[in-house]
Amino acid sequence: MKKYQTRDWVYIWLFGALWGGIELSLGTILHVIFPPLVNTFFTGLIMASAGCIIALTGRSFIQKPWSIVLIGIITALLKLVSPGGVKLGPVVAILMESLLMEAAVSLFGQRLRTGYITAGILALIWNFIHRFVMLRILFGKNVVEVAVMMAKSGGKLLGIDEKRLIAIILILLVVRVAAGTVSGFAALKLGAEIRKRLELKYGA
Amino acid sequence: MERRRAFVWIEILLLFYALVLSFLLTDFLLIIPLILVIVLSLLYIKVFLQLLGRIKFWIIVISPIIISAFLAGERDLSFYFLNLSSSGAVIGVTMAVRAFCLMLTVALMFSRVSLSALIRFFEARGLKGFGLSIGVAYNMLFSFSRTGRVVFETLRLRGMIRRHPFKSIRLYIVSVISSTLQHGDDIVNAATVKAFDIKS
Repeated sequence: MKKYQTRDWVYIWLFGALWGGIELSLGTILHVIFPPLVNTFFTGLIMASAGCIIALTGRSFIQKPWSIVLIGIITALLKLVSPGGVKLGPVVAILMESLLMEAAVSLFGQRLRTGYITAGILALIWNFIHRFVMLRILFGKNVVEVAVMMAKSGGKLLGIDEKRLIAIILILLVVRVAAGTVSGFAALKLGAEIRKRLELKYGA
Repeated sequence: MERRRAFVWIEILLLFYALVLSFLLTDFLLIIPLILVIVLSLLYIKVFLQLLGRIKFWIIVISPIIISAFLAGERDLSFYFLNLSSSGAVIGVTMAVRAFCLMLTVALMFSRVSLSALIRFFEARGLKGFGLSIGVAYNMLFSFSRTGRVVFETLRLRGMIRRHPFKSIRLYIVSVISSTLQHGDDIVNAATVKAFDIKS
């Protein structure tokens, strides 16, 4: 691991706190606005996109390996000690997203655009899988059987056949891939714009 | 003091044991972690009651029983005008017990963790910068909300939000992050002047 200087740690806590602040403020508002059942589709998507933009923008200022993971750990710890009780789901999601983003950015190295977009896509795809993984952890192997039956009876009730159910899942996945691409690209642009703005202001 | 600390560690170990048992055991054996968790939760009665008072907690615990009773297995049970499946209800109860144990164990475990304890933990393991990062990040949360409000009011007073809503979102994010980084640079400069240096 490259040595982290004081400035790197300061930036890590700043971006960690920013992501944490968004989780605590926007996250709470969205959970109140959207009922629990649409969480997977709206709240998760918005929160993951925001987190992805912040973490990847942070990476453009702290160009050292593991910086995204450290930002994610700070955010997760803030979430853990926040008032309102322990929610294991968001903590696992934050850690996994930061780990996937770090892996993608490290893998592509100098090819920043590809790395950032892949990182965004991976983080947003995890956000989709996350709900199923958490359900499996929480309820055990029986949940798979019940979920399949639930999907089948739900489909029958609404007059939707199984192929269309798969199509709906695919559409949700495609929406997340698109959101991930936009988030990765936005983080890249945002990093450049902030750097330009700071240079114009301070000549730093 | 030492005795109290040892007692806390024993509690945490027992909770961890209950967590592992909840993961590994199935069906009727889940009664073991359930009893263990309920006994341990009596030590943290405030957290226990707080969790029991949450509607979301009960939705998560009760929903598998209802869903499974309706969907899984043959409907051999009649309850008023409803036809339910007894085998489905059993599956649902095991799922609910597992979820109950896991959620309660995690809540109890983390109720013992405070911000200062976390910082102490990282500092003791040589991660000096990391412990400091958590402490300062926690305090920074309040200054972010102030910065965010100031930037938002500035954009609103200039009429940006109404005229260019999308551009104003971009400007809002850029302004908040830039001012945050400036604040960070101030902290770094202050640390340098005081010869404070974290290297890991």
